[in-house]
Amino acid sequence: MTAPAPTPAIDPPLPAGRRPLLEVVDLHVRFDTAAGSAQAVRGVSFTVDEGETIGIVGESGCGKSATILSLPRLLPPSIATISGGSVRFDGTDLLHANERTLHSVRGGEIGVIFQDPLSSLNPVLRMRRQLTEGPRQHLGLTKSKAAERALELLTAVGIPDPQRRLRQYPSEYSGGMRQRAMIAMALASEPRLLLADEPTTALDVTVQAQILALVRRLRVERGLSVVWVTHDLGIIAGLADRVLVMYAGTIVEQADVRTIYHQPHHPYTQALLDSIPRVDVRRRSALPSIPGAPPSLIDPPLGCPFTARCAHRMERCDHERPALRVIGEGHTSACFLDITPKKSS
Amino acid sequence: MSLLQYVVRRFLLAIPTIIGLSIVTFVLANYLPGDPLVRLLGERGAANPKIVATYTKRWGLDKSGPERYFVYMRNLVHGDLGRSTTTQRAVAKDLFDFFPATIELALAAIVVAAVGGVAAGMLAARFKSRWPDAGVRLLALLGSGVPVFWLGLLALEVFYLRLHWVPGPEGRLSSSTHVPPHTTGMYTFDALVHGQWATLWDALRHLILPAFVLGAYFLGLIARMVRASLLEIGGANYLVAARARGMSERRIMLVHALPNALIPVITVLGLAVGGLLAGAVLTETVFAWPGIGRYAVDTAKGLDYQAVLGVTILIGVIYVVSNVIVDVLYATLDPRIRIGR
Ligand SMILES: Nc1ncnc2c1ncn2[C@@H]1O[C@H](COP(=O)(O)OP(=O)(O)O)[C@@H](O)[C@H]1O
Ligand SMILES: [Mg+2]
Repeated sequence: MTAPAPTPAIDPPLPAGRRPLLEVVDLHVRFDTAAGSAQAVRGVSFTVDEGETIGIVGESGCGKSATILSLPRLLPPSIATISGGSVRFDGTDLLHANERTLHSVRGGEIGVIFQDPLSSLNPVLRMRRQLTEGPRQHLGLTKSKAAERALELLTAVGIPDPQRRLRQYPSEYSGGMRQRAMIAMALASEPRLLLADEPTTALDVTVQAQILALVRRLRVERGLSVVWVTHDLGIIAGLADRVLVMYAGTIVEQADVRTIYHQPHHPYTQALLDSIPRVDVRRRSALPSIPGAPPSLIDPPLGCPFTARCAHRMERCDHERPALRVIGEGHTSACFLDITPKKSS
Repeated sequence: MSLLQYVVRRFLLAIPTIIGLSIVTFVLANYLPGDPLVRLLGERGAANPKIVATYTKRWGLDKSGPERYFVYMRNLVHGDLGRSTTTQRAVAKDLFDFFPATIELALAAIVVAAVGGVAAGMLAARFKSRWPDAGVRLLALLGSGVPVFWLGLLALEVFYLRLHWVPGPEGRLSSSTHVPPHTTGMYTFDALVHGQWATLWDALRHLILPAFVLGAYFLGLIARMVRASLLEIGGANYLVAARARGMSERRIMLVHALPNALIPVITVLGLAVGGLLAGAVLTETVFAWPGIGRYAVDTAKGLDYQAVLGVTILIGVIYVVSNVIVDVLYATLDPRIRIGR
């Protein structure tokens, strides 16, 4: 087996003296299931700077959730193992951090928004309780000060009548409101990094646009760094500074958002772009429709994982896995193709 | 709907249930074997025409079944449940005297079952498939598999005869201890509010073993349920979300997981009341505990019509009311029930 060399983080050079807020190197995550062990993340490296927004894009099952949820070690240890790599947050090695450090980093430094707001909110606790417990622990606020803060937060994310809303239970909120409340919760303890795992997938287009506008505003107001995961390249366009394209547990292309849209290199990125519905066509389902499906991660292919679906497939692609290489300024791609393939119509 | 509205509605709905229950009990009691007059008055009374005439008038014995029921209910509302031929006292007075002993025993058993069951279930879930889990499961199996009277005798053998940790089956207090002033009739509570510490201690020593024996079945049941439901919600997204907010595992268990895991347990507590009352009959017999259960056994043996009727209706009312309380608890824990979603 030609195991590809660990992929170093290849990033645009940082301004002198600045270090990235988050630095992920050669991350590996494995899920052990009855069917076998799935290599959900296979050597992912990237950095996030202070105030930067990173988009992670890819079809479902490509390891996006596994990647970001393993950063604050939120995957259940009973089924998921972080089998290699390192995660440094502001100099702290999170993969070897003790419980104490983790408890203060989670929520206090890194906030997380989950995909399904209903199941991520505790059905039997009032929203006030769920919104105040973070600030009370991380910011040392009293009960009443934390309640005041919760009120401000709900107002900030655009939930009307917050006083009443605080007394309610999650089941009394609408879908869009729950997601807003989740954002409020993730930001409650003033984290520096926000991890968002497809937070708008369950929402309709209007609410989705409102949520995106909200996050853009909060990012500017608070100088927040964001990692935004989605399977919809369309969402990322107006939000991210840089985009990572994930496929079968690996990063296949990485560039600033303009380059990804205008000069994509990897055929998978190309295919994703082609599957974005036109703006003028009403979007019924945000699922990209590339023919075929990603390979199983239980026994991932030896060569390039995309060959089976690739329009530019070559002989060597079947038995040799292309490593990420620099193909332009701040632009890396894991494909053997010399030149950017012509955009298929 | 607010919680208060829910509570009021639930109690109003219980009234027809209680009325229905009293009718069924009344009809069934009329099928008790033997001469109704003898059942009511005993052999000697039934031979005395004057007494028979008074009783016939007071209980409408010469009237039809439905009319007799209304007479009975009218007397009941006035606190007259008739006389017990066994104790030769008013049934209402008997119930009033025997009832607190049973309530005390049942409450203690519920506390034992709930606290012990939840703690054991949490322990088992926390150390799943390790020795505390195996131990708890074995104990739970014993608790819910062994009949109450057998468990009672076994417990007496070990903790009284061999270890001398507790007094023998001599009722609620040692013969040398005076009964505390009557406030509720529950000796532990009365001794506590009157500051009679020696009496409190004596009452507790007498209470602990029967309470464990009576509560054992539900302790086991609750332990298994808490374990199962904690394991089931162990991977819930809202627990991951709480973890993502930086909450400690301890807080996640106690504040986030446990209230959700307890929702199914509340139903069991509702069942427990019925089970405990049934179990009380046996437990009270084994431990010579002077409660309703023993009273029911003693009076039933003598076909003591009005005593049996009174006990049955009282137990039925307790059962219905405790079910209402359980429903209210349920609604307190799970807001979705109240909101109706
Ligand atoms: N709960 C799980 N149990 C077993 N395998 C899982 C689980 N979650 C994810 N996986 C495996 O990890 C891979 C990546 O999953 P995930 O990170 O959720 O993908 P994405 O977020 O990109 O949709 C899946 O294809 C699957 O093989
Ligand atoms: Mg996902």
